[in-house]
Amino acid sequence: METEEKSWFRKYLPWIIPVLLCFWIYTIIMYTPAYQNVAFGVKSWFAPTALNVRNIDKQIQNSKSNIAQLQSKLNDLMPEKPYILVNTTENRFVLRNSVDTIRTGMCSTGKDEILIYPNGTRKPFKTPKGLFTVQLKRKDPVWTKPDWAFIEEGLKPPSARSADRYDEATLGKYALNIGDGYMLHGTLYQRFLGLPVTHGCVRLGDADLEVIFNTLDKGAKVFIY
Amino acid sequence: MAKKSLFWLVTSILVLITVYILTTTVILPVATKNPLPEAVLPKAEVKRDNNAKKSEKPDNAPKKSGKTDKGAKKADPKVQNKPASEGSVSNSKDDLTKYFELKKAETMLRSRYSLSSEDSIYLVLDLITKVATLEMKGIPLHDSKIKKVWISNSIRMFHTEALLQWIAQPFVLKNVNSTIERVQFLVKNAPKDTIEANKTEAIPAPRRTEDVYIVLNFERNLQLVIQQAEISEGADKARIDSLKNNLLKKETEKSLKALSSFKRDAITPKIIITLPKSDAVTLYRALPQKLKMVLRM
Repeated sequence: METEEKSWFRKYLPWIIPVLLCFWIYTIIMYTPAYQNVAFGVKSWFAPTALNVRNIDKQIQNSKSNIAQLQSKLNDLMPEKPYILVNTTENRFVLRNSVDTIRTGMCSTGKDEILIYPNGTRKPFKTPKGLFTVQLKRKDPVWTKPDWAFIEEGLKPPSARSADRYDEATLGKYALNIGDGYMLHGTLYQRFLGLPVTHGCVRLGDADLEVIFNTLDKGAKVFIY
Repeated sequence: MAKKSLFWLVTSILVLITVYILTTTVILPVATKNPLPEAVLPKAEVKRDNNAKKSEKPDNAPKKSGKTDKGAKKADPKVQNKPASEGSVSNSKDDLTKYFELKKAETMLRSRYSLSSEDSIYLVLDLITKVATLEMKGIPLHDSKIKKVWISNSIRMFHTEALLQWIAQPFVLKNVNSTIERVQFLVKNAPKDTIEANKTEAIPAPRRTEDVYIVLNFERNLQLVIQQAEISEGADKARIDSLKNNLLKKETEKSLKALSSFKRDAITPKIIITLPKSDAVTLYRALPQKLKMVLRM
């Protein structure tokens, strides 16, 4: 009996091992996403069959008309008035109207910095992203310096009504307020244009600022991304 | 003799398991013409499409069996993707190509229009014109010319109708792995006095951005990889390789888990786009946390 068993093993073992091995390799291959990405792309297996679409001419016409309608709806979304795009990564702006680019140039945006006050308060300096509108346009703007402007210079912030708070030079000739204290304005530091150096506002060169101020009306869209 | 029986029993079990795996991994995806089981339209969309199909049906068209209608209402991908080969309609290849290209264009415009009502930036990835566009409220903010596109074969081989369903809705971002930070804040302590403040460098040193390799995982299993066109070297290359290795490790773990549970995950279709580094950084930094993406291919 024992001899019979041994001979059986000798006879079938060479079969069992390759079968198990093949099965194991097969499962590994089939369950590997990387393989699936290749395998499921073999054209001879998965060649897409042509569908039978009923009334295809009518459907093509419908689709064409839908495309025209959607395109027209999307075109309607384009602002009629000029608008400005501000790229905070490259520190560039594009002034556009519905059909054309009016002006492009360099600007300075937020320096992505967190200032830690002596009392531990954290103040982030970052240009916000999204859609804003010009809420107020000012010529020869006066900047009311917030607390951080003093703390950053190692000074103690004065009282709210203190004359030290008012600065007539820093914002340049024009300022366009876009809400939450953020503005598009000029700068004394023209050499920093193209660098992220501001506390959140968008600084522009004098010539660019003048064109932007004269082109954008109150309510104009400002896209910051 | 008993051992012989045992041998045949084991062999039969192995054959049955193999047939089962073959069925679930190969035969079913082929039969349904849809290797992505999750790629189904939301119910409302399916109903609308079914209604449209019904209304377009000629009066003398053969009625579908109740069983099939029931299946369609349940948004069963097998039924949705089933070609209408039972009908006697035959269309020319040109007509079909034109029809599907128009449908793809329509789908993209519809998605863009629906996203334009949201207050968030979204990405429009047009692999036909090879342009990646950041848009908001229907207004293109930034266009990036894609230098290279690689699409995994699993997407290429979608049945066209399955592909249309897959791209019908905007893709919503699930998670991101990247070599660069979305926002890189520098933390600075306020100076104690004006003397210390004056010591601060007057000219800010521009911060260098590391080389870019971004993996965006979307719902419906799409994986979008954004890589820079510029060749990486040194520490940057090591960082990118490390990210790639981590992803490979995760994928391997997933495969082993699938092996042990005998449950295959849906395929992860992959798209790799190569952009100039500046564009890749701009796109990534502008993307919102809950990014929505419109895909045309």
